[in-house]
Amino acid sequence: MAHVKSGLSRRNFLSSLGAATALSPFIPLLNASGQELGRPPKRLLLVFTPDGTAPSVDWMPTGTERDFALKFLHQPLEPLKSKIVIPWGLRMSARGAGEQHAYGMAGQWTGSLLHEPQNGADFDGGNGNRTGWGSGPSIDQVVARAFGPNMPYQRAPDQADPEVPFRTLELGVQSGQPNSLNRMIYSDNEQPLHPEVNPRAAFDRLFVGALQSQDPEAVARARAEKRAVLDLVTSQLNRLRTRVGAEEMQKIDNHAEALRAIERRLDSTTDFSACTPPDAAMFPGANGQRLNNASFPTEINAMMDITTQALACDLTRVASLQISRGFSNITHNWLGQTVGHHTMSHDTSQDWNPALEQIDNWYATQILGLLQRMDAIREGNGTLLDNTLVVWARELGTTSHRMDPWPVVLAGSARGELATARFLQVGTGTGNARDRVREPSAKLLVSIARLMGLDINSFGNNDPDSGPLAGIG
Amino acid sequence: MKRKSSPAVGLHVRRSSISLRSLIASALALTASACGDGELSSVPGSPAPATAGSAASPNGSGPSSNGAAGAPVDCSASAPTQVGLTRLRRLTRTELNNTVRDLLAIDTDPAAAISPDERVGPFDSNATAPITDLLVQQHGEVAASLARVAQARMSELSPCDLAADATPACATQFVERFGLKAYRRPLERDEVDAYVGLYALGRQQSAENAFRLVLEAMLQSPFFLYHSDAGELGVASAEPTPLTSFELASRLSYFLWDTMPDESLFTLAGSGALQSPNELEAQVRRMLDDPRASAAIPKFHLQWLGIREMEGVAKEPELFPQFGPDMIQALINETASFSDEVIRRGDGLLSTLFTANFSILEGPLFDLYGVERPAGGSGAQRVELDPAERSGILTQGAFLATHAHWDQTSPVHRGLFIRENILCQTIPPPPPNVIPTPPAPTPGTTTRERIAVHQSEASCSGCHQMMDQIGLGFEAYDASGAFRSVEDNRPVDDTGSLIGTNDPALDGPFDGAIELSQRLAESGVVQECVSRQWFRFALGRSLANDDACSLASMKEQFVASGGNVRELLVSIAMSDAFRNVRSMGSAAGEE
Repeated sequence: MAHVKSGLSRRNFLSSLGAATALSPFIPLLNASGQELGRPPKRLLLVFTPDGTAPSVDWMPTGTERDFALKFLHQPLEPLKSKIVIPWGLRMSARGAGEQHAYGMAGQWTGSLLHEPQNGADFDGGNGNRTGWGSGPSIDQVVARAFGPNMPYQRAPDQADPEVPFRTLELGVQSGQPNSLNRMIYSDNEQPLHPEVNPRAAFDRLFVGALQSQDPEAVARARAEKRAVLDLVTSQLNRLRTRVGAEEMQKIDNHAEALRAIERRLDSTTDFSACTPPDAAMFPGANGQRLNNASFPTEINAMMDITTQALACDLTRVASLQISRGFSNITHNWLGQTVGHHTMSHDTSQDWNPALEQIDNWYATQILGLLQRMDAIREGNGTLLDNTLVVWARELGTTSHRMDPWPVVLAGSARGELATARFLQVGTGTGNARDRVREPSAKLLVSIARLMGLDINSFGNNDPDSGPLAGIG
Repeated sequence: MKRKSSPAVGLHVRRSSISLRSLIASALALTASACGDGELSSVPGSPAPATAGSAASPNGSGPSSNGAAGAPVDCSASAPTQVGLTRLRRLTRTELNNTVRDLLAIDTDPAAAISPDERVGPFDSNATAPITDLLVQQHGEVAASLARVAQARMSELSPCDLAADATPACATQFVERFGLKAYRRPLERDEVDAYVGLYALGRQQSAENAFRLVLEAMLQSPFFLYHSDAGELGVASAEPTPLTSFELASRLSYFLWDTMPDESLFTLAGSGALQSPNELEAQVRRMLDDPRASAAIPKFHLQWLGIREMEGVAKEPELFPQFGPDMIQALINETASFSDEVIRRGDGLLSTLFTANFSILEGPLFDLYGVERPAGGSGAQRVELDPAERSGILTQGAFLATHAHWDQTSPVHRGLFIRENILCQTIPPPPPNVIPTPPAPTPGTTTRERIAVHQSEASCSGCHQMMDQIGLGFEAYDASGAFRSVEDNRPVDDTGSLIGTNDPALDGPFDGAIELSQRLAESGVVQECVSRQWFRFALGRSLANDDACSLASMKEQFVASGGNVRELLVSIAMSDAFRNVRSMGSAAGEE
């Protein structure tokens, strides 16, 4: 890790943040669950859909910042145009080992380079390349570790844990085995986080409290038993610790930390009366049903239901949803297609652009569905969407491996922090124009953190000290 | 913006700010340094069979070899034992499923609820990826769920009647007996006490509840979830340390059966008899003869040859209307049954794997191979194939269809696969601004013609001759694995050549995949590569520099046996790397 240049040391960052929080006059305004009185919590949701846009797509909106028209790629978002921001002209702050799919996956939320193979990690990076893991934390993890006024988590410095059961929630749809092409969320250097991809399992884990026996005695007994089990497992882990060398100690530490988080969740209380746990009866993956290409759309729907209600129920305030993965080769049969997404993107036997544009449009329709779910939930004077910052991104600019312009959409206003209904042109020059101007996506990552209440100017090691993106945050 | 290309152009340069000239310049530089423009860097050590005195390089050989691993290693009997760094490996999904099946008689794919496995090379092994909150949560949920289901079998899983006998003695008996199997070693005294304490807590409700709690804890204990070898010292050490008998029994059973040890192995571990080389060898042979070895041997071949990647693959429906899920499953079954037949029930020879004229076909495969279904048989049937059309595992549909595009063959991918996975040599990636896009299968051209630019362009040929010239040997098989003698109304040309293999007997031109398979079948380089692959499979980790002597002795015995894979598996189990653990220190040279 030492050789990775980072604008921000996690430890320094957290300690400075803690100091600032201690002086803050806002802390006493928290209620018992650590929430600012009278205000719904602020949330962050990162959403990924695969591959770049069809090379034929010109998606730069026309018009001015406040008066613009959406192009085909984003037209499905028209019903919520008043609640989105489309920045045009970013280039991805992504580089490192492997080819673009691989370092685009690792870099999109981390702004950090993808390692060469090392420390036992050695993955297909596409096109004959090999890679290791990514080299820095993703922005959601940094936001979720921070706490203080106007942030998703506001706990006092002397509280060890956030005020929700799940500090972060990683969900996915057919996100594949653990390798660098398939992972985008990192807790730290070389520490990828795997998304839960089974909707039924995610539902059971998150909403079990809504279904539990209401007999308080039985609940208390079940908790005591679970705690006894976890204590025993923890003691066994400590025995294993003496048998493992320093090289493998990270696994033991992670395992211990996970057991602690599970134990903590035993005590968490969630008020499920304030939200509506999704109907899991129809979820794919129930009753051992196999998930496959055909169930992809229903899995997306289920995971969007879960994501929305997990935020609405305040089970977490920082979430990510990874739909498919780098190199996605989903065949969109439901659009009348018979060839996989990635296969089409590099096949020259015919003009696949119409089919690729159809896929872009379809993904935008799915995103609309997510945003509409969130916008249908009233909170305070607004909606869940209003109190969230949703960022939708992809691992490439175009299917022909351009890393610019990066097709990213912001939605929701982060509890009023972000002015929406805007097209933000931050670059100029289309295609390969030599004089084209692009802004590094690290600026957007910095802005995401700032919208979430963090005071940073640099994120990731690819474009350090970039500062924020003008006009965002 | 649409990219339209001449069908004769075999690769497509991404239009970017990089000029074609700079592309070619950088490609030339790459070629000169990496593939040597045909002049291949010589390999340290000898490609001839390694001897106990001169270790083979653990890091592959051939074009990519950097020579770093070529320093002489003393593998004599008096030299200190060296083994690579042992990783803490979590059970794979199939290991978990099989273990639960043997431990609890529950065979319901519980591991489907666990995040997918990572890989070491082509093989499933959870050796390096970090443990995450989600994985621990998932294992806890699976443990709880299995414990609930197992409650119904409480009386069978306990040596005493837990329901009727509430004494600590009965609880202790149960914990010790069941714990031995779940932990794959005897529990320590304080471990027994801890579980008996947990049992007592649960017993306040009922014996079933107490039983459930013990199982829930054991099935998510790190000693159940991990291969947690520490050796006879029982603590982390930078010195190679012999495995305990119980650890050795587990390594054996997960290697050859993909599951926990059986009663015989537990008994031999308990008495210490398994540490005797004679007993160890006898056990390996017993296990190979046992049908349970049919779990591991086909698994090795499907993973090694990349065949599982075929699941979910589609082919161009108009060209290959018969290619669908049924065909894919039948092809996978064929290679699985064939490898098991050759290695476990047949002569066990690697050469047979590459040259056999028979296979085991089912369903749509009779049509694919153009052979009559034997009269009176249903299900899978052993049949003789036309020796002019098929020769062993590399000419089976599974390998051929996996390593092909959706609408045409891919000599590049087939050749690259042979180079990397059969010869254990690596080819550097193409320059970063080249996106390998197969040229469209335009009428009037053959695949060979469409990739000819790889040979005529100096910037491509250095590396591509290492791949294409092997893969073109498979041109008599289309993208679905069917035999073809014509392509585009012209006779198929499936000549090719092997260069730079470090085996003079292997190098040279050849005529088609049958001759290629025969040549590979006899090559020492292939034998060494197969040894490496089995080593990775057996230990779930990469080879490191410190494994050089183990590899040398394996390969020596493999060659001495005439290339018998069964003997190779015996020698792996007898090797220092297999019988020792080293939990600290260098991982240098890990592939």
